[in-house]
Parts: sequence; structure tokens; C-alpha cells
Amino acid sequence: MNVILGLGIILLVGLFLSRLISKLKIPSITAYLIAGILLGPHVFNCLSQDLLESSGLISSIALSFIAFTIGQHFSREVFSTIGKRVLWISIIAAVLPWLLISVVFFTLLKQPLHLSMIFGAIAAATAPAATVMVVRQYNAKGPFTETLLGIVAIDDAWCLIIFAISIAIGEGLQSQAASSMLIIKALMYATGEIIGAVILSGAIGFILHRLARYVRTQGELLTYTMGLIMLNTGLAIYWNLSVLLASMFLGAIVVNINRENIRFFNILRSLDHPLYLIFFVMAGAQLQIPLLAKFGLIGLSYLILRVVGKMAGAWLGAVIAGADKVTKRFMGLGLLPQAGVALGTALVAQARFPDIGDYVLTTIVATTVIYELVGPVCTRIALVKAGETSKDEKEL
Amino acid sequence: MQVKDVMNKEVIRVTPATPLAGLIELFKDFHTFPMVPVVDEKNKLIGKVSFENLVDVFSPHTADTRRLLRGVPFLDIEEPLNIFKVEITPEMVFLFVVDDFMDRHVISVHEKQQVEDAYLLMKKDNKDNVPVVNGKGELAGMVGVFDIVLALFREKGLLQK
Repeated sequence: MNVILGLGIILLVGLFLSRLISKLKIPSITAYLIAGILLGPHVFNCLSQDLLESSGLISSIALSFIAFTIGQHFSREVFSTIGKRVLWISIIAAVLPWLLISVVFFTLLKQPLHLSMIFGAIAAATAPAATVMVVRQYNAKGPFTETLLGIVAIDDAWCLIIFAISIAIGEGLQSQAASSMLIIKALMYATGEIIGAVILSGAIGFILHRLARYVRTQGELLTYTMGLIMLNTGLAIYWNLSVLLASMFLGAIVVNINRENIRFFNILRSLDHPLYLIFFVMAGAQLQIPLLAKFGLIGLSYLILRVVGKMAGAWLGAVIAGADKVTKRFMGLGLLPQAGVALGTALVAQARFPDIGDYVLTTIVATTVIYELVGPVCTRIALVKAGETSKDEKEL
Repeated sequence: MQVKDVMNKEVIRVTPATPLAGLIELFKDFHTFPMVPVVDEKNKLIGKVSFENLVDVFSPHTADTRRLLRGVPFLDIEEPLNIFKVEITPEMVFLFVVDDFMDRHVISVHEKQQVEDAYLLMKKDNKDNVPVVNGKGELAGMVGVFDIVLALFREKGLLQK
């Protein structure tokens, strides 16, 4: 089967399977992952090797667009908008699962440090689309719902930062010969990667803003925006800088230079649906089914520790922010879905660390399917317990 | 030719405090809902309201939450909000004010800008009309593709000046 035929099948199977599955009130991302697993090499084997091998390229492009889009959250307007409660809960509910999983995986499960930190960082991500879906389905409204939506809107940005730090430290650990100064050298390496990404994205962001005056049509604007995001990503790869941070910082810089630069984000929206659909289906297709049984303990530990980390982090954040009792008790439950950014970061880990890549990606794809099935139910319970769903749902 | 030579100076404008009821009253007899500039007490342009923003009235969430969610990837892949199933009550038309649903990202042109540049900007951003501001950022008028076409027609002698 040729690559173009494979892409056509991915788009159509993904689209119609998601419409079918939406009747069961399951997020579309789950449908795309299932479509990928079914079309992939271990079930119907409908996708050519060429297409599977090019998935790294598709994922890298999609991820740079995703990170660029997330970067617009670092605008002055957003920071003046988000309250203390959203800020504290989102940060601590992202950092605590990272620390918990990193420590338990490294000390108790005897996993390599870089692998432990990567799993921990991925655990920070949530699933805004699934959360919004549940909120809409149950017509939830009220202060708890607003806080929950605010948190899931920004916590993927914290995940990208934590992940970039983890991956930079991991690369630093691998690139240095074992010595007593290993951790310090790895931290210096990580700092260099991150500062380099800031400098690069600052320069590209300035160019993006200045040269935009020569763009004349919507088509040219799309081409120009895609071109500069890819240039930024490509240079970050070339100079071995943090790719995700470079893309996210580019978005942050562009949105803060001028409010009218929102046009760069709006124009990318026309690509969102097909690009993200292909991205998720391809992620599903890379699930190594034979490896699943082998990684049972790691997968199960990840599932449980992420829940513990999210619940404890949300509680601690709510305590620090002086939130009400309901927020302290149930906010963590609302943050359990995991989807897009987790898969994206797992794909980056697969590309950057070939020795552990399949291990990480298979675990994250499998746990994402579970979290996307169970997570929305937990979010619904949290909303019902907060008393913010419509009347017919409150008897839960 | 500069924008101020072709723009409309008589512009209906609203403030963030204008209630939804007042906004609907202003435009209910129009063929379609136009893009309405939002100004502060000093007539400084601070936003706009278009029919897309009016749909936000059906959203159960606050303006801040909607603004936060706007920058989130993957949201479009889920079912959009079904405005036919949203519970809204008649008093909401008085409770909602423009500040709740206005768009603060407004693309404008300067009154001294060349008409050709303004036309290209509208084409680039897929806009039929944009607000015009003066050197102080105050709303000076509105200019649309139709105004520019009319001006061209006049210049070429297709219309009397």
C-alpha cells in the first residue's frame, strides 16, 4: 500500500470511527488511537512501512505546531486573567506527579534516571479536549468548572517545560562520561539547551513579526507561518536545542510583540483537524502490542502514581491558594484524563532516546487509552460532587 | 489616497458596559450583524464584537475561561457547543454586557495609511472591514472593501464624485 493511500485511509477511518464512538460519549482522541491500533502492523496491517517510518516527521511537525499554539498562553493578557487558584493548582498538580514518578521509578523500580524523569514529565499533561467534552455533555457550570477548565487550559504548558528540562538532563546524563560531577554537568547541558532555545526563538519571533508586512494573502500567511515555525524547529534540531521549548517560546514571543500577531495562531487553525487526526492515528499505529505484557508493572505503576500525584498535587495547590473544600477534595479527580501532549512528548522521547523509545511510547499509548476511557468518568464524578452539572445528573 | 479619504466617519460604537439588549436593539433591523468596534470612555479602540462573539453568549463559561481555552490545541476535534441545547433565560439579555464576549484582539488600520495597504491587510486577514484609528489610538472611523471599491469606481469615472 502506498503512502498516499495510507493517509487517505487514516483520515477517513479516523473521522468516521470518532463519529461512531462519540455516541458512547468517549473522546475523539480515543477513537483515533483505536483506529491507529487497528490499522497498524499488529492488527490489520493496512499501513505501509514507508508511512510508519515517516510518522516521526509528521509527529515532529504536528508537535512544533502544538507547542507554538500553547505558547500563546504566555501572553500578558492571559497572565492577567488567570487567578491564583488556577495558577497554584496547575503548577503543583503538574510538578508533583513528575517528582513522585521520577523518584519511585528510579529508587523502587530501579529504572534509569532519564527514563524515570521522562515518565514523570509526561504524567504532568492532561487532556483539555476530553475535559471540555465532559463539561459540555453534562452542561456543567460554576466556579469549580471554571477553575478546572482554567487548569487544563494551561497545564500542558507546564508539562512542556518540565519535559524539556527532563529530556535535556537525560541527554546530558547520556553525553557525559560517568563522574562525580555527572549531575552538575547534565544540569549545565540542560541549561544550555534551554537558553539556546530562548535565544533562537527570540530571533525567529522578531523576524516573523518584522517580515509579516510583506505577506499579502491568507494563503501566503499560512505558508509564511508554517515556514518560520519549521525553520525554528529545524534549527533547534540542528543545534541540538530543546525543540518543544523553542516552538513554545516562539509562540510566547510572537503573541507578546503585538496583539495583532494573533493572526499567526488563527491561520494555523485551518490545519488543525486533519494534522492532529493523522498525528493521533499514527501514534496508535505505533503501539507495540507484543511489548504490552512485558511492561505491565511499569504501566500499572505509571497509571497509579499519576493518579496519586494528580490528586495530591491538586489538593496541595488548592490548600496553598486557599481554595474551598470541594476544590481541595475533587479537583484532582477532574484532572485525570491524559491525551495529546502526553502522546506528543512520548513521541519526542522515542525519537531522542532510541534505547527506551518504544518502551515509553507503548506505555503512554496504552495508558492514554485507559485514561481517556476512565478519565472522563472521573471528571464527571468531580463535577457532580461539586454540584455543578445539570439537574438530571446530580443524583450520582 | 489615504484611508481617511474613503472611510466612514459615522460609526456605531459600543463600550464594554453596553448590555446585550442594547447591542441587539442597535442592530436587529440590519441585514446581517456587522463588526462593531468597542471603545473605552476616551474613545480609544479596545476591541470588537462580531457575530462569532455573539455566539459566545451561549457558552456557560466566563469570558476569562473562554479566552484561556481559545489557545488550547485539539479542542476543535471534539463536538462543538450545541447552541440549540443551551439553557438560557430571558434576563440574560440584560445581565450580559459587551465586556463578557468582546474580542480584545482587533486588527485596525491608521487613518493616514494608504488605501492600497489597508486593502492588502484586509485581504491578508480575511476581513471585509476594519476599524480606523488616529495617532492616539482613538476610533476615527471604519473602512471596508466596499468603500475602497466605491472610491476606485469614482476615481475611474464609473461613479460621480
